[in-house]
Amino acid sequence: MSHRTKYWMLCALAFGASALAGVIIGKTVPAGGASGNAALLFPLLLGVCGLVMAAGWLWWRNTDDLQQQGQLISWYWGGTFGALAMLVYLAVFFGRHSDLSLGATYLFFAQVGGFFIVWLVWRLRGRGQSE
Amino acid sequence: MKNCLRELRKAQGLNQAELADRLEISRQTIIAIEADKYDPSLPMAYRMAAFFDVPVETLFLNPWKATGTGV
Repeated sequence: MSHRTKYWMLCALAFGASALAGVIIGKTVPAGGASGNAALLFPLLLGVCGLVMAAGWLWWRNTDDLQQQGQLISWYWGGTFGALAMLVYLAVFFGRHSDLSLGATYLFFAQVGGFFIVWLVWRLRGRGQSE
Repeated sequence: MKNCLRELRKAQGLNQAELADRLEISRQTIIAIEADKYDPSLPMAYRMAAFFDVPVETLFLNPWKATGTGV
């Protein structure tokens, strides 16, 4: 199997896993209000998210320097600016304490938290002996 | 960074897609490097040099060495 074929197959697997996770979440979580058995459902769906990340990781391992750089730059600058712009939009048009604004804020905090965890791991893994 | 990837690739009779497949990288990366738009990582540079069986500095010209300043 050529590298190109393998790359696109893993890419399809990553997107397929994301789509499947979307369907599972959509089928198990009620449209309005909290889930009846949230304590059970939350870790279960976190596991599903973990499988999505694992599929993404398989694809990521098959990408080269340039492709990874493209993803990192786009997610960091594009993703951060997009999230901030939406956060400001929701606050301005729906109020700072509206459900929409609060939900978006939680998502943004989670993103910042995830960033610091991964950054810390990256920093610790890159440590060498100082002389 | 100036390089002679295109010349070495053509000397082997490979097109960009074939070289990309042999090196297990994307064709877009080969195109970007040949156009001097992207500098590969050290491992990738060594991998390319090993493929063509040349020293890295034959493939990627060292701009600091050429000026002799080292900075």
